[in-house]
Parts: sequence; structure tokens; C-alpha cells
Amino acid sequence: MPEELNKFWKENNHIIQQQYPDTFDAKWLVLESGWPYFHLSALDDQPYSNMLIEAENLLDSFHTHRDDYGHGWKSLTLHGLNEDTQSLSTYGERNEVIKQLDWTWVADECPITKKFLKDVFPAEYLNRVRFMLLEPGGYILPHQDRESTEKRLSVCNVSLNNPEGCEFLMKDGGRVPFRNSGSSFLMDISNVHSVWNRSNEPRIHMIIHYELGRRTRDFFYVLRKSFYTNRSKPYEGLE
Amino acid sequence: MKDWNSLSIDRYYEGMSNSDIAVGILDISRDIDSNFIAKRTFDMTYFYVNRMLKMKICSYVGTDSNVKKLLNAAIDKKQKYCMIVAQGCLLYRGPSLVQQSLEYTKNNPQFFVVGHIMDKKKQHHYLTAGAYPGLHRQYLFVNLKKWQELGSPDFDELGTFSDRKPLYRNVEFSKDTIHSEYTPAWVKAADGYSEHSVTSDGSNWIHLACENNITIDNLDHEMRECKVFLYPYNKPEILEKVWLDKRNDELVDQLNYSQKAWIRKLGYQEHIEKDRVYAFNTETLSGEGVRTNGKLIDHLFSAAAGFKPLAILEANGFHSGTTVHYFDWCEASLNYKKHLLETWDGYDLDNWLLENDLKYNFSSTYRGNYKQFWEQELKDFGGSLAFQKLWDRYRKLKHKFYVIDIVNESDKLFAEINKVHGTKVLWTTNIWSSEMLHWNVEPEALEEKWRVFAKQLPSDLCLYGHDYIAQDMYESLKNNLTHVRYNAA
Repeated sequence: MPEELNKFWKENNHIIQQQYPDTFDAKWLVLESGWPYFHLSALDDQPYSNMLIEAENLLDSFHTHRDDYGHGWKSLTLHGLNEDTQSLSTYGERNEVIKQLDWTWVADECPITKKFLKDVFPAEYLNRVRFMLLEPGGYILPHQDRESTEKRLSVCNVSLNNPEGCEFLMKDGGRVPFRNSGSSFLMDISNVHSVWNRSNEPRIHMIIHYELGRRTRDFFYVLRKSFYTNRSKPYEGLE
Repeated sequence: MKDWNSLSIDRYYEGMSNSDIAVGILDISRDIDSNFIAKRTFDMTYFYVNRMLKMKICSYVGTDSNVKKLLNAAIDKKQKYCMIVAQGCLLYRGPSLVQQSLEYTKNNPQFFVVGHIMDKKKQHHYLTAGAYPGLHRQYLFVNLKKWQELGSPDFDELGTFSDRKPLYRNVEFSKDTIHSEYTPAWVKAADGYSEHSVTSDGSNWIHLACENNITIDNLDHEMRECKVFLYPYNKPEILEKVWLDKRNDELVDQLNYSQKAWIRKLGYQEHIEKDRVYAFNTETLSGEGVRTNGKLIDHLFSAAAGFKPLAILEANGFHSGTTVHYFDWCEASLNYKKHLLETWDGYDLDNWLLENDLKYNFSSTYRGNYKQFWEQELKDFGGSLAFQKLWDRYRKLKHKFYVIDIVNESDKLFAEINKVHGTKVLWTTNIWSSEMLHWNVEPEALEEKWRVFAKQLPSDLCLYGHDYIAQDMYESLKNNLTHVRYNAA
């Protein structure tokens, strides 16, 4: 096992409880709080277990992902250019690439997941949306997807499952309390982060890149509901 | 000389009906962080809409969180125009707004929408500062034919964009502004287009209007004076605390300008209402006609307000043995009635009111208006001589007075009613549907009180007045009417 992974694990495998302010302010929360993650608990009641079954049915179709810093890490694209869509910046002029984004065959095979993305997730536009598989024993080495200076909660990471023994850690942010029964978190991926699946089960998450557009108030509503729910249950997922 | 603080205003708008205007309530409860405020602001928005419905000057197309659905519902009802009022927008002078809006349609037959134009370059909203201009969702007045000609567009909510910035037509604003530098009198097309990473509510309507060479006008001052928006999503926790505690200055001071002004107004109104006297009625005097089937009235049980009791007596007929029983929760109103009966001869009421002006807190009337009100009254009674004759007969009747709050202690009223026999008439005016009562008590609780009251109504009692949803009591009892329920989107 890479020493880098062990070291990161020793330093960051702990619980950090977020301190909630008295009043909710969406703009502060997303852009200024500096929080490494935020649990969208308003979305806790979604049919994640059904979405997991849909993803598990397609396990043979997943593509190896970033084997330069991951092991046993695979992806399958629901919304993008094709079933194996990479970072959009690798395809040329972004404006042109954005216009070509669409549902892939994967979404057609996963109607419950597609419905969640279309009707429930509070964004007008979807960019790249992928199932992310981390096989038993698999890991993702510590890395960051954005400059440290670009702090903000952005991408949504949805756990369709999160078996015991599999953890997502953030430098200075500790363990992200994903639920095995399913949960959605906004993430600040400017923080160094790493995942290690030390369980015997495949872990499947879904990563959603989106643009709020005219559903900004819907998004704020989910944030607000989640904010007050989270504040009333500060230890949930952290025990 | 309209008395807008009074219980009803029917009398000022007799003859204005079938205005081709639909009203829909825009449900914005998603953005209100208080179930209490969400519900109560809806209740009160509907309260003022209901007052307009009762006067038949508009039709109601329901509530929805989607503007387009409300507009389509208005089209289904064959209406020409639609007022969209957001939950929390109180049309407290709704009939006047309808009148002004109809005047606007005559002068601007090709208009698309009248709304609160927001110049976001000059408004410092924390999210939409600098955005493409929009129309505040609190109130829209839409020409449905023009909306359809433009393709029945959605009313877009504010938006934030990074990859898909909309390309919108540049705009020109009037130099004149309405009340702030960010509220221009109109907006129209300018040359060119620009991309915008932040847009406002209704930005797409402004863009579309510009593309079609349509100028959008803002509401003028007179229109604005007909309504207030409570911004129910703004500090709802404070608004909730002061909803009943209206004179808690420390809390009220924390609200925004509109909220503060309205709560203070209500607080003052409530403070003075306990001894407020209604010298004149604001509801129609004879709209309900004769209700005793030709029998002369033996006992009239009447609220102590204006001259409507005389109109009821005259319409149905009475005799020298008739007794008038005045009830009111306000002792000052009863004292005023006694005083008037003892000292006034039936001529020149305006002079009597001037002489006694300092003794009573007359509702929204003031010295300069007494004569106008009195002349209107005489006209309704068929002139000075006719009124004087009626007053002479009326004065000689037996009058009794009771301090009774009929909403909370209706049994006391019915105890008096059940003591007497003969042809009995009850007039409750609009006590059950009054503004302050509805502000303080939610319709569900009021309905319970109303049911207690209604159960006690003897079958031989002739009824004048309204139930808790401003429906004629006969209609209400016959059809077992109830109020519009609030269901959050």
C-alpha cells in the first residue's frame, strides 16, 4: 500500500464537527464558509438503494478511471459525451462541449437514477454525471481537483452505498459522514482528499457536476432545509 | 373620501363588476422559513382578494407556485387580464387597483405587463446585484392576449449561470424613477445584446418585451398605495413574533421598511380601534332588500354603526312599538348612539359631528369630510326631508344597549334575542369578516367560532350581515360555506 495513503489516513481519519451559525445564509454557506463538505440532508429520503441496484446491474460496463493515482477506481457516465466521459476541459472549447452533453445509454438503463437527476436534484442543467465505483481494497490517493485558493462547495457526491470500512477523508476536514443507506454531499474539492475502500464490498457513489441556472431558489431551499436539519443533529453520521 | 380602514368598502364601488380581471396567488412558501408566516401571509393575501371577489370585480383562479399555470387558468376562465399577487402581497385597496389597472388598459391596449421593474445595476441585493433587470414577483398585471402572442412564456425565476449565460437584449431605463434609484418608471429595448451570469425574476419577460418593441411600465405611486408586500421570506422569525405583538417597537424596528410600516399601521389601528366609532357605513345601505316577508319589525338587533339600522327598518317596515337593540364590543360606539339619539334633530349631521368631534374617535373620517359623507347619506335616504321624517320616527322607538363581543361571547347576544318575541331581525355588519379579526385569528379558528354562533341562530330570525368569509349569512348557512384552505406548494 502506498506510504502516502497510510500517512494521509493516520493524519486525517477523525471526526470534525461543523459549527453551525444561528442563521442560514446560502451565499455564505457555499462561497464563504470554508466548510469542506455539506450534507444535503433534505435529500436523505431519496431511493438510493434502488439507484444502487441500477448501478450494480451495470458493473461490467464500468471503465477504469485515473489509474495514475487510483486503484480499483472505475466510472460510468450517465450524462456527458459518452459512457466514459473525462474532464470536459480535455475535449476542447468548453462552450462547444457543453452543447453536446446529453443523457447516455446508461441513464436509459437507470430510470430511477435519471428521475432523481431530472426532477429532484435542484439544478437546471447537468454537466458530467457519473457513477463512481471503488472496488474492495481499492483506493484513491490524496489529491485535489482545484487550486486551494478556489474554496467553495460545488460538486455533489452521492453515496449510493458506503460500506463499513470505506472512508472518504479530507485534509483538515476529517471523515465525510456518507451514509451506507445513501446520502448527498456538496464537496469542496479544492481540499486534498482521498478514499480507501477497506471493506469487502464495492462502493458506488455518483458525482454530479451541474449548473444551477433558473433553479437557484430550489437549490437554496434544499440548502436551507438541510442546514436546519443538520444543525439539529450535529453528531449524525459521526458517531 | 374613502374610508380604507373600515370593515368593508362595497359602497364606494357599486356598479363596478365583471372587470375581465382574474387574480391568482403565487405560492412562494418554498422560500419562507416559517410555517406560521407562510400560512398567515397566504390567509391575509386571500382575505383581500376575497373582499374583491365579494364585490364581483374579479375572479379567482387559485394558487400555484408557477406563474404560467395561473395565467393559463385565467385564460381558461375567459379573462382578459390577470393579477398575480404573491403570498404576502396585501391588496388592501384592491378595488382601486382594479379601477386604475382598467384605466391603464384603456390607455395602453397593447401592453404586456405592468410590474415592479428592478434595475439590478443600482440595487444592492446580495445575490442579484448587477444582474439583468427583472420584475419583482410580488405583483404582476398581465395582458393575457399579449402574453399568448408572445408565446405564453414562463416567468423565469432568478438564475445563476456559468456555462450557459443567456444572451439578452440590452435595455434602456427611464430617467424618472418611482421611489428609489433602482425602480425606473419604464424599461425598453436598446441596441445590442449581452450575456448575463446572473438574471432576475422575470428577466426573460423584459428581454422578450424588448425583442418585440414593447415598453414595460412600472406601477405608479397611486397603484403602489393600493398594496403592501410583507416580504414573508425576510426575517420571518421576527415577523412571526410581532404578528400579534404589533407594538413591540424593539422587534418591529428590526423589520424591513414595508414590513415595519404595515405592522406599525396595524398596531396603531388596533390601539385606536377599541374606542373607534363608525358614524357612517362603508357597506351598501340597502343591497340586501326586504327580508321579513312583509312583516313589520318588532325587534332589531343591530351593531352600533352608521345609519344602516335605519335603512333596514325603513326597507322592512316598523311600528311605534319596535325596539332597537344595539350591541357592540366597543362601548364608545354605544355611547355615541345614545348621545346622537338624545341630542340630534336629524338635520345637518356634519355640524353635530363637528361639535362633538373631540368626544369620539371617528373612523378615518375627519373634519373636512363630514359634509361630503353626510350628503352621500342623504342621497341614499332620498333627501333631507325623507331622512328627517325617518329619524323622527326612529328616535321615538325604544332603544337598548349591550356591550357584547359577538365573536367570542355570542351566547350573550342570543340570550337577549331569545328573551323577546315577534318579528326579529339581526344585523351583524361585517364584524365576522373584519380585517383586524382576520389578522389576529386564523380562518380555521374563526370558522369554529362562527359555527358556534351559527348554531345558535333561531330559525325565525331574519339575518343581515356576513359570515367569517364575507358571505351573506343566509348564503353561508344554506350552502355550509367554508374558507379557502392553505396548502403549501
